[in-house]
Amino acid sequence: MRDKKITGGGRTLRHGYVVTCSLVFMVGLIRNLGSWLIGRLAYLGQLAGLADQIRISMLRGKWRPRLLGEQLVATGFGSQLVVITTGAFVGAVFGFQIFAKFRGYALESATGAMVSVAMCRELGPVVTALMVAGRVGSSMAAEIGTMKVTEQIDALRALGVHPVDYLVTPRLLAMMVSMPLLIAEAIAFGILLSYVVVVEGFGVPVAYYRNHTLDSTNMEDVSIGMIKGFVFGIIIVIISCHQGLHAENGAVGVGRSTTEAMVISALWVLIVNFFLSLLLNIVFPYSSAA
Amino acid sequence: MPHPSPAAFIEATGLIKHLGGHLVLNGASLRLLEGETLAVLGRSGDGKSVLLKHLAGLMMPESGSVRIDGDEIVGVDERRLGPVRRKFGLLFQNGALFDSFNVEENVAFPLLEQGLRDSGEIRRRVRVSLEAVGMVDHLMKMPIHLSGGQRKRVALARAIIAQPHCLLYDEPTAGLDPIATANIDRLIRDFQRRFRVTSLVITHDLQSVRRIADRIAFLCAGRIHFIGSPDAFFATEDPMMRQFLDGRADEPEAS
Repeated sequence: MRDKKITGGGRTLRHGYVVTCSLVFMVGLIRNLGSWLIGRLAYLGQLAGLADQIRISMLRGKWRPRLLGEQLVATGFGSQLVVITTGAFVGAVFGFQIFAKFRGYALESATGAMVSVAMCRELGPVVTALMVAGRVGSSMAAEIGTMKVTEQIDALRALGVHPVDYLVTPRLLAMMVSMPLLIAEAIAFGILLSYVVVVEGFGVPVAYYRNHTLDSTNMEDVSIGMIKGFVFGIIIVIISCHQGLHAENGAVGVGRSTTEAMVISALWVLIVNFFLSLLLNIVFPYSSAA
Repeated sequence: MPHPSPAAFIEATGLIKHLGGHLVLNGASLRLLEGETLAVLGRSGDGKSVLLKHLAGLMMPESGSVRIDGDEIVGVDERRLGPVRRKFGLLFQNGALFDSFNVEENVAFPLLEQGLRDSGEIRRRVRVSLEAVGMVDHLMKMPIHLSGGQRKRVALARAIIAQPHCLLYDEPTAGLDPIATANIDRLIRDFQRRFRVTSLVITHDLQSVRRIADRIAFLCAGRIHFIGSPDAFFATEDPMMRQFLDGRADEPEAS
């Protein structure tokens, strides 16, 4: 009887211990989840605040054509080689894989149509945005972050210049102009190199390839690419400039901001791309001819 | 009949600020009078630069008030602070020159931002400012090619080019050799005498203070512990200020 009681007491103790541990674990989990969620919401709030400052700056700020010109050169002209190379080889490899698969069904002449629509609607905008986030976004974060930690942004403020007016708005305007053009280049070179691979490399008849491509690709496909580019450009600039403006702790902080600018921009581009695709497929549905 | 006391160009009252969980300003209050040079002294980490940034509206206190030329700046939107900030020039500790601009572009920047478009006039005023600080031969140099003292002199030229009513200096002589320090001190004194510029100098260089200050404020633990004439400051018997003046280490001697 005594043994039973002891055993029963031990079970109760063990049960109590498990319950306590579970409770502690649950409380910790909820606390960490809550603090993570609050952190993310605060971050989104900061991005929205920056977007609002840009809006005010565009409406009331000073017009700085020289800065806009410099940013157009840095963002648009400077990214061309990277974007063209990436677009061309993505188009080439995509064309080759589609050709290899379609050949089994004697549909190889439809390769051009597939490549063209995919490049316009998805691959062109996404690949270009990822490359621009890596090249331009990280550079923006590094430049603005360095200005922040060396008090150059405080110097701007002390001279009565709003940092968003001077540093962010020209970059955003330049990106809004550059991104659609860069995407157009990536799409064009992707289709071109895929043509070279499939037609010149594997001997698919030019007329079939060209006709299928032209018949299947319409203005809606191109519009989707351009709209996505415009939106991705805004995302990249806001995230990268925000990272730069909030850099701290010297060189280490600038390095972290630069990396985060690239990573966060890339993730947002991919997430937003999914929802934009859903939305734009409603606005611009595939035509029955395609 | 008593003389009317001069008006305060900057008046800060009861500033409280925490940074990284530490109380940096603990009710700091001071008045910077028109035309005077006020030196703010204090130990490293006692919040001198933070106080200066509050006076310039670059940081906002958790509570307290800052009035510049009669205008309250605490709680005012950043975009509305522009015109108030143009009333003063600010010299940062490391100069804070724009590193993508050369010396001429750095000094011309305030004029361009104020909308001056006459390039001849801009060039003339840049030269005058750079002559005043002895840097006119370095127009085309990039900030990275300047020494610490030269950078501060160019930053000073940038701060004075728009002829501000008041100049705020954040440790203008820190890290400089004695001759460069004396040169900067002479410039501060010259500006004050020639243009009646109101000046506030954050420093812990006692020799500089003797040369430039009309009044001295001593910041300790986030509060203004003393404010008065240089004579009263250097003759003080207050243990904390005495320790600072004598440069004694933290622990008092056992005897």
